[in-house]
Amino acid sequence: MKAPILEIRNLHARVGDNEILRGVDLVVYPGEVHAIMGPNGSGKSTLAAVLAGREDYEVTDGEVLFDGKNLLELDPEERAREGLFLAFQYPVEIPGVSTATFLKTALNELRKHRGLQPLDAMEFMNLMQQRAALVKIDPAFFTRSVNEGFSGGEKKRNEIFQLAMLEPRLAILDETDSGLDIDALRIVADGVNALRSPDRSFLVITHYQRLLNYIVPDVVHVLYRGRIIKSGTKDLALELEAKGYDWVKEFAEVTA
Amino acid sequence: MMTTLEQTSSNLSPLERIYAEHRYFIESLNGHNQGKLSHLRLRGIEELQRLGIPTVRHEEWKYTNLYSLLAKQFAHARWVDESVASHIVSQFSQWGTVVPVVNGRLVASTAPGIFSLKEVASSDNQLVQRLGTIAVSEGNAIVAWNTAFLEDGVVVRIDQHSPKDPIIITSVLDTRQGNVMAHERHLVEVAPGGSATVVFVQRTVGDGEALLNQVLECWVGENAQMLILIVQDGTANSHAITTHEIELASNARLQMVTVSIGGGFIRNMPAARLVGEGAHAELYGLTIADGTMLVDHHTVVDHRVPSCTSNELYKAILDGRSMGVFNGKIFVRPNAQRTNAYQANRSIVRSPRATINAKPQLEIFANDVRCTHGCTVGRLDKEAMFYLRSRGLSPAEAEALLLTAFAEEITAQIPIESIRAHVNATIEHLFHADELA
Amino acid sequence: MSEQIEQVDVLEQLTSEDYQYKYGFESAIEEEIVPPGLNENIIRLISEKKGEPEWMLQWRLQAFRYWQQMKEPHWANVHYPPIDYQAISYYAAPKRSKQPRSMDEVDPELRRIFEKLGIPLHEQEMLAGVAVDAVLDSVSVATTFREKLKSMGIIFCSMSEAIREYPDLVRKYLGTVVPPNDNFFAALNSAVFSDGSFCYVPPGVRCPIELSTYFRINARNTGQFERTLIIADEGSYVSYLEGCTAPMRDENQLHAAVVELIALKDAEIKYSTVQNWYPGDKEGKGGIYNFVTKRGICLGENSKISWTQVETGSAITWKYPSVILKGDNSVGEFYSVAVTNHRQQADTGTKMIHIGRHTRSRIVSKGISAGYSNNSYRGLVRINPQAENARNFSQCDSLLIGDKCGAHTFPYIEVNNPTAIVEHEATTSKIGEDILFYCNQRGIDTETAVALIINGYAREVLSKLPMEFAVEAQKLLAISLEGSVG
Repeated sequence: MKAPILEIRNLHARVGDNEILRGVDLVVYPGEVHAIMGPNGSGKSTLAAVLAGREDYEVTDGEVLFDGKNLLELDPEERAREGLFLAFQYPVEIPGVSTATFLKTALNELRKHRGLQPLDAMEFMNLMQQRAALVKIDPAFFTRSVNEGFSGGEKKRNEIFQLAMLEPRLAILDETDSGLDIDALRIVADGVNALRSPDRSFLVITHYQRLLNYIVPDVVHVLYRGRIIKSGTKDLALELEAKGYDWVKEFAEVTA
Repeated sequence: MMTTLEQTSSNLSPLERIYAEHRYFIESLNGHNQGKLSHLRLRGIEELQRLGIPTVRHEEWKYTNLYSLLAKQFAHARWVDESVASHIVSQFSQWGTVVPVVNGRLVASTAPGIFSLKEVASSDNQLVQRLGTIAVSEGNAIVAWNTAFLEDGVVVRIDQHSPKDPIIITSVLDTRQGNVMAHERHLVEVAPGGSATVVFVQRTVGDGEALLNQVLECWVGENAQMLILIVQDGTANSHAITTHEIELASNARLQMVTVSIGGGFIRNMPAARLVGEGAHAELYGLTIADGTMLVDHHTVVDHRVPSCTSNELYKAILDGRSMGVFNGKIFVRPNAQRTNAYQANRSIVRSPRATINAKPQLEIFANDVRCTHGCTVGRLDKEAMFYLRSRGLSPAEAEALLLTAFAEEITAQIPIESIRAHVNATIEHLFHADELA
Repeated sequence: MSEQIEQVDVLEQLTSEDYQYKYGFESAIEEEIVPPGLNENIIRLISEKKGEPEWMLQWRLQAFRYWQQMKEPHWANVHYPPIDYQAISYYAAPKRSKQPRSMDEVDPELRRIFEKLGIPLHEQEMLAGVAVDAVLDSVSVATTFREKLKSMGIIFCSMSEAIREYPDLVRKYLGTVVPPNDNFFAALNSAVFSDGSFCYVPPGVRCPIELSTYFRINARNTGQFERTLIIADEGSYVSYLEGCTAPMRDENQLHAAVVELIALKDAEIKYSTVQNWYPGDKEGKGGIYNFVTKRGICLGENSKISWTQVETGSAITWKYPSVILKGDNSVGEFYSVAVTNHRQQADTGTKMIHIGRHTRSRIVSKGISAGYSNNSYRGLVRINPQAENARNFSQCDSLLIGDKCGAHTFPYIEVNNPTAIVEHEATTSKIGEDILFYCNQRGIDTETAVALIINGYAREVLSKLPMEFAVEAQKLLAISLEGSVG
């Protein structure tokens, strides 16, 4: 078996005095899709933020290896350049900066890091068009300011488009399904599925099982009170859906 | 008799006239010019001497010519006929506890907890500790002028046990012996957790011209609430220069509503200083002016510490040859991070000879802030006018309705029913009279 | 599309460069400099050196008399030590025997200076579509493309030349928009102005190329006082660009220019500036004092004047490009990006004076403050009583980078007509942490992210610049702010 892309060991993190992650352990191998489920406030989005390097969170214990490197000592942009991508739950708007400009800046930073020549305007345009087709996004997006005036669904689709452009090794989807209607959900999921490959892993964070009908995970984890309390196959998600989170809460209390 | 001054001083400059009156005033105190007040008076007159009366060359008075007002030669009011107050008191008694101040002197008040500055100052009472510390003479000619003639006013301290009745400070200027000017100095302190309402009204008796120079110093303690209402609905011979300076401690709240719908020359200078974290200030103003009325609002919202919020909305409807002035300053001092300040100024000019001069002003020295101001000048929405007319309203009726709605956004901020009703009725009368004309 | 991609390329080049004012070199050319000081004799000397007619000398002397009675204004939100006007030299010119007749006669040393600045004076090397008038210290050293323009009736030459060759036009318009007694600095300029550009576009002619003046202060202890006059006759159009740089020096140098624009009926003038005078060092030592009076008048109906400025340089900026909207249906525009960093101070904005009926104006101002700098917007919108149906829209935004700088907004709105509609909006904010994190997460470091965000913030203004200038301006914005985030 290949070496894991992501190894999280006993990860503890807090915001202010509030400890949110209390010993997360997780190993993801290349090509795998892991789903992280859990009730509100269980620490799902915190896990995503800590992995991406958001400053508001303080890691108090544990370690995270990304492709064997200590992820926690890298700046957010270095993590991105190493191939970690976060699809934001709430993508921000950047007034006046077109999606094309933004992505060209980002992509060429990544290429520089990998020792590649920057793409010229023509190559970049071609790549954008090709990837837009792959994730079924309207090229009109290119010239619009990043996320400015986008609907909730458009913002999420733009995140997947960026994923397609930047080709990360690990993509974390932070509640990408929230606020999407069924059609938008399907478009987003199709985009993700088109991007699945033996070298690329996904961490799909979601509250609902619904998304997992479209993006079928290899492993499902249940995060509760800052810990993974149960892991299983995709059937675990269905079981959760049927029995509700109270079921795992009971489970957690028994094993605590 | 002051009439002797009146006779000898007609050819004096405004400033010379003030000095002469100041000498008379100090003499008239008959040796009672000692202690805290005398010290402040001296600083006041010295500062006024240094600064002079501001001219239109002075940035803060660019649009408002004080000299043209002072040409009316107001005499510093020395006569007090308390009897004129009684029928005026009855006009406002339904609003709350009326405290009449006639020609600058507090008429003996029977209300508990309300004191005369003259009385408490002489005893160096704790109540007057803040006097001259919130509104300071230094650099401010109007406050200096007021302080030079410091004599009387209302002193109130409100705590959690104080009666909740609004205090109606009623300025009566008696012009039956000639044009008068009165200086009032009020001091209000709201103890932590307290809640106070102070209302300012002004009436002129007689046919002469009356100028009020009113200064309020107000301290709002932690978690305390202060509501200030200023109802300026006097006759064209009523003029006022008001300086209302309020300091807010942590989590204190201020709401201030100024309604300027009658009078001659009005200049209001409210200042809210947020000196405790979490403080919040709301300032609202409404101007409705016609004839040659001048209404000038110079507001200051000063964010001195982090995490305070403020909101400001001033509106004006100008007709005839009236002039409206709005200068709204928002300061965000260094370190006053997480400030959230909003200001808006909306004006409607109805006549070719009316004028609005607006200068919203932001001065920001902290970066983690959200400050916005908006200023619009325009006329009534044509679509709305058409809509109302298509429902059968005459153009005059439609206009009156829309103007009333425009004004009501401010009057709706007056939480006291009786006062709001009075103001709304006056406004309706103004627009209705207009409609008939 | 290609425009946006260009933008990124520019940013890429930048991030590798360390901050430096790359125009800070000094050129060792031989110059003729009059002794410091200002009096009637100096003015006579300047006028004589330029071979001016008597009326011009008298005009200057009158301005000098006004100036002597005026006081230096201090209402702007800028602070600097007193200027000793007698310590400044009012005329510096590269030594040469005679006015060059053609490009080939221009001193090769001079040419090298402008080439170093990226302003080649050889016509064949010119970027297509830009004619340049290069002004070094007090005098115009070369004007390109003039013959081509002349064939269309367009006059584009140095001011000195215009006074000699087209005295009637100059006399008719000089000082009509900015009178010699308009303000202290305008009076000073009127008395001592040495050169500048003159442009006249005849009726119905659309100037096919961008006209450009490039100003360069080189000599030490001198002031630069150029004067520009542009007249667009009925139905004509001209787009004019102005660029400026100066060597890095420890002492402050004064720049007090006057620009007058006149648009007759149906004419349009577009005036763009990228101001990059030396801003001083990080501690605020040195730099240009930029006290400039720029004003245009829409004299005829349906005329239009548009100012676009990108202000990144100067230690102190005091500048209010304005439009007097006299003709009915005339239009005035002001688009501005002003960046201050380190100890720079800028007090800039515009005046829109509505006199004619149905006149419209639009103001878009984007201020960016960083370091210990202060950046003020000061503007006036006046609707005169006879200006029926006038419209104005103003948007003034300020962005603060760091907590030691200041952003100030002083808009004056004076409305004397009930049919006017005036709207003013202003916001002050910082670059959101969440936006920076979003960029970081896509692999973009914070400095590049700031440059990207600033360019986005200023986009509405940058898009008004001619293409060549827009790229230059984007570069400048990023360079000016380097090191301000961290």
